[in-house]
Amino acid sequence: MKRKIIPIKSSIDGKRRIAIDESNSEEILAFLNEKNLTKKFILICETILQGLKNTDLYDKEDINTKCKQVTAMKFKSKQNARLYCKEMKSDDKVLVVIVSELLEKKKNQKNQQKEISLIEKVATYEYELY
Amino acid sequence: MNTNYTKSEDIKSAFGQLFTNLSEEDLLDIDAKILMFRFLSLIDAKREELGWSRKDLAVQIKTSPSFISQLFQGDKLINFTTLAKIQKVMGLEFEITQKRTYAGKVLPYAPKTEGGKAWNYMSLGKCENNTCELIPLAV
Repeated sequence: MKRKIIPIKSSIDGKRRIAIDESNSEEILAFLNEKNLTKKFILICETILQGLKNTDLYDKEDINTKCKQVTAMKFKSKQNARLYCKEMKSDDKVLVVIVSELLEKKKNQKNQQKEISLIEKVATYEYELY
Repeated sequence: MNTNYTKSEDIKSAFGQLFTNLSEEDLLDIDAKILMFRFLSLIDAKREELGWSRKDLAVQIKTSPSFISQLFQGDKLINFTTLAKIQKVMGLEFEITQKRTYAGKVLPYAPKTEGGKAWNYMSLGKCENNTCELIPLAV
């Protein structure tokens, strides 16, 4: 069964959109509020929506061929948390970045089994875009 | 903050509020960082072209690699002296253009009278440099 998304914000030109995985949205929102990361989250969203490349904040996590659509929002300075995302194209050619899974703390610079599992899990997610 | 959301509409609204409930100061701070990222994305592309690491860039402008990281992570704002140093060591030059908003392209138009009695609609005049559109404010 396809997972549901909640759209959060679109770019002014309508070519990009940020959405959140409905099942994990409550946990992610609570975490952002609790750790005082909402402003950083907005900064990352705006960076994506304006089509700016900044790999310190948002980058591909294409650790293998199955995970080509997986990306991560990075919150390095405070918590070193990650929000793993899936990039999809809607029928009307809009790039939808779906915030899928939360990793509260990335402990090593290199991806460990915990991160790899999460990235591969996100890669398997299928979403109902509307 | 209440985190007991039960409906997707509540979540959507709560996320929407993250964007709309920002203070003027926070909005300006985010705008400033986005503006900085425009410069940094060009700097990073040039850095890669030159085959430099971030550490090389830091050494060239006599700062620390962690300061460069803080800029890219949006934890600090760049200043114009640092930008000027980067321009110099990388041999690049930033070109500034103004992106005009629709409001900036449009001049207000109000009907003018001749002789102070009846309204007499005048032909639309050309604006300076012939770059603006003229539209009536009301029909």
